[in-house]
Amino acid sequence: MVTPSELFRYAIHKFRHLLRGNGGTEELEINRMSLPRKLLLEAAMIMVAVVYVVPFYWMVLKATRISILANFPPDLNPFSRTSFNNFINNFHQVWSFGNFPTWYFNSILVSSVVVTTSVMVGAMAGYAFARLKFRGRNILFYVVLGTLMIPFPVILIASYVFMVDIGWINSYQGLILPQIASAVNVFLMRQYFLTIPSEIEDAAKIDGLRPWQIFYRISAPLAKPAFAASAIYTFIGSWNNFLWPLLEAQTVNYWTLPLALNFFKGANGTQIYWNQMMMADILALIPTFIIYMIFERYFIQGISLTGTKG
Amino acid sequence: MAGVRDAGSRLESRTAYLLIAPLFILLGSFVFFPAAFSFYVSLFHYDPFNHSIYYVGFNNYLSVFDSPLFRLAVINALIYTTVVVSTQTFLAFGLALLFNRRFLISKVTRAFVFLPAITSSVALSIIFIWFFSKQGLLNYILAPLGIASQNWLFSTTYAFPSIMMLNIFSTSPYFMIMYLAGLQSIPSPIMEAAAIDGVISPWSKFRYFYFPMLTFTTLFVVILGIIGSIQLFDQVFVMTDGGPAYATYVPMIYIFNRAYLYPGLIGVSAAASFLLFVIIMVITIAQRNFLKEMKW
Amino acid sequence: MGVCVSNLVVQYGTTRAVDNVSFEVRDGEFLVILGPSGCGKTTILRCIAGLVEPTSGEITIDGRVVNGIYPSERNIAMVFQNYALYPHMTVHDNIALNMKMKKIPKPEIEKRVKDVALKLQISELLQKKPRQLSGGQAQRVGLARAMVRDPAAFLMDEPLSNLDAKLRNEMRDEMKRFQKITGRSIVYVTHDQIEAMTLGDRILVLNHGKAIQIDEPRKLFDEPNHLFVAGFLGNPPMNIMPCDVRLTGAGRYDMKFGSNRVKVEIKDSMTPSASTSMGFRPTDVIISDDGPFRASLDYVELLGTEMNAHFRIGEGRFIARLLRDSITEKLFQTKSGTDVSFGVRANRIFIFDSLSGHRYNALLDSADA
Repeated sequence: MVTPSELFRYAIHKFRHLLRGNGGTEELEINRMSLPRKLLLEAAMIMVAVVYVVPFYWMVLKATRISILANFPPDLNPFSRTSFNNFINNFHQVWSFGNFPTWYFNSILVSSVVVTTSVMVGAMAGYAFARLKFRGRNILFYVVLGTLMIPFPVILIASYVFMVDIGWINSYQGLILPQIASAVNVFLMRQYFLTIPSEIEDAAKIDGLRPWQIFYRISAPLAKPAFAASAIYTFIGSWNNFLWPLLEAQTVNYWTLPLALNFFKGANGTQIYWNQMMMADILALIPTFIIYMIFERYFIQGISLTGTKG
Repeated sequence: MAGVRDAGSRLESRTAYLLIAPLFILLGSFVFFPAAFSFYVSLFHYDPFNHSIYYVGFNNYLSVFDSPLFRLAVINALIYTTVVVSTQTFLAFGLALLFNRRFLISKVTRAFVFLPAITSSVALSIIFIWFFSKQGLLNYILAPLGIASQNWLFSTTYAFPSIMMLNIFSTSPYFMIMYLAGLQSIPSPIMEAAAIDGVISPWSKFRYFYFPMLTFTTLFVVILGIIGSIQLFDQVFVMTDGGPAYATYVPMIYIFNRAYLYPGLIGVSAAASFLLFVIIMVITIAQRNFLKEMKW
Repeated sequence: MGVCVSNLVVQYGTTRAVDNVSFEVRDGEFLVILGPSGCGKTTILRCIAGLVEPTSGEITIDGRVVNGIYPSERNIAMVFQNYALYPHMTVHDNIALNMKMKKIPKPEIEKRVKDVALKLQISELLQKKPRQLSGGQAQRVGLARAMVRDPAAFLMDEPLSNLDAKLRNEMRDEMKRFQKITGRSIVYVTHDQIEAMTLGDRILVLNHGKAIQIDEPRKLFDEPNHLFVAGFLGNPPMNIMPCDVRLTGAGRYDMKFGSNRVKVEIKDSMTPSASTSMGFRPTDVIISDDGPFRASLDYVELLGTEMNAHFRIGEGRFIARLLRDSITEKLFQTKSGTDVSFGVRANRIFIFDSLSGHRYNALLDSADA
């Protein structure tokens, strides 16, 4: 799959070369990739993409089947009329299963609160570390980065015991609060604020803005991409978080979707209802998928910001 | 006048402390305190449900050391980490080199490759339970080769490699993005100069430029990979729960079970988590020193 | 009135970015701070603005000591090299923000924005975002944002450096006009001597954080009181020749460079040493057969109506910037290495102490080769 314009350009080049009847392909081979090589690379890319899409394709396919058994040869079209009807049918079954709507609501509630607070907290601290002078700034920043080195299990058990002690097991605050403080968000925000020219903030100081006004009127609006990146990041992390809710939410009323998905796995005794499990998977994947589709650029940018030197 | 801080800088530092206050309150309550508390708990028989709490010294640590199960879990985790981190790092680098093109198609395909990174580990595990199941895709693919269909996750030989495969599949794209960012930060005049110097074949480009220039990224990817791998939990918990016959038993399952299933063993669980912390630290520091020597 | 800086010191660790600098900007005066990059000129400006805290020293604006006062309360406005416009706000909002912060009523804000926009000819840009502006337009908006505040002083940090050469010439005229319409003191930092000479009422020359000389452009050029000023101003800058000095009588000295000799009377005290230099401007060299000095011609460059003749005297070299006429034209035919007689315009020879850079108050008695 070469883009038509490239094919066209290539064809013209070839054509000119033939007309003149002298060697002119060297430039093409040095400066532009030869067509076979390009096709080869494109084929490789498509192959890799196919490998990555197949499991998800099968997930969709399974969710459009009623029979729990695999048919041979399998019907590979998930877009047929029957597939659609099956899909709706499966959806109804999953949605009315247990407390599915509650779990969905819990996931949305927890993730959205975590995202808003975590991004705000991260942006505030990130800005202070990037731009404001205060005693102990470097040490405190290293302390924040140091939390990345503390493995989660060390915190996990004590947090759990702590929650038991103060009676926060099975509570929204118990689900939410431990997920907010994120060194990655602080780091990401700081990196971005550092890229905004400091003269803009100088100008704002002269215009009479106090430091916190500079933060929320000038710098924060300019850091929208960083806000987007860390919001998406945090959302996906929180939405997919499994281990903490597993300890924290011990009654079904406080479950989030990953717990529900895990529950589906063993919900029907020995019989495995792939269609319902995949349907639940799809439902859980929809919000992150939509967000990813819209903000893919920022998601990639976020990883890049944290992954490069700084 | 010397040393007098003016109104502007006082205002600035006061604002700064206000801005970082929420972060540090949260970090204090939910990171630093639990980390310290966890060490405290590890020195106790700690059963908050039955209000049975008493000091046991380092007995919890001793029982973890003595536990053949924990030793097995650590060995499993080390094997898992070695296989997964090395494979996924190479794969991530390779994918990044493949997708680092200005083709339209590379953008589209890259977006698909990134799908696992946004999917929850539980959902992915469920998809792969099916993939490895008797009616699953793996058997479907292997059937023409004459390999008898089986449930791969029920096999003591294949269950762990299956989980490794899933994680290599799902984390490589994430690290690929880091390599892509690294590749794109190499100024193009450098590669142009290299081309003029005769560095044209993909291998020589990799050998003399991409690989040595991305040492930092590799360090980052390897360390993140190790930290993630040693803490492996979700996939094992969902797919095999440590089985069959402890073939996939890893430290986090040990820690989780002791805290969650046997409240009387919370102290043991905390002790085990501290040992895991030490293991992670040692490996990370060793890796860092090793990779530092290769820095350009 | 105006801006007064006294004994300003800014220290970063062990390095002094600004070393005990004092100067005054009179009311309505255009003062240029000129110096090579890294000499501390921007730091001084940022101290006046309140963006950098001085280690010691006092800053007075309009008769009021402003040390410790927040930048916006200092009654100054600043224009930046990279314009520093708020990228997410329209031109109008960029100009209006300061008044909004002061809670000035809306109709008044509108009136003043319109007024300033009209004066700086940016009325049609008001609804645009900064990224839609050209460099010249952006800096005009920067000027408008400063002007709308009607401050006691304008601080300008290389405002024309990011513009291309042609636009810079245009904007220089604009700056001159800006001074006229505002009538306020302007402190203007630049490393471009042409900007400094054309714009400044006075110029403060700065080197390594120290104030070297503050004077009107003409005096600075004609009577540099320091070796650094002599070597920094002018294109090409002043020729500096090391010379040997001998005391011949009370206040009378014999100075030798190469085979050439100058007798001078020096009013202030001087200890004869090897560290003495003589300086003269390339434009003050006169080629003439009865000139008192001799030097060997190296090569000649044609510039158009003028030429640069490069000479050697022993180890030393100098340049003569000459108008093309019947005499100088002959130099094009002269072989490299030929000795040429030349003179220097009366009273245009300067004597400096090479170590301290100080200029002696010297009177030329006679000269010969």
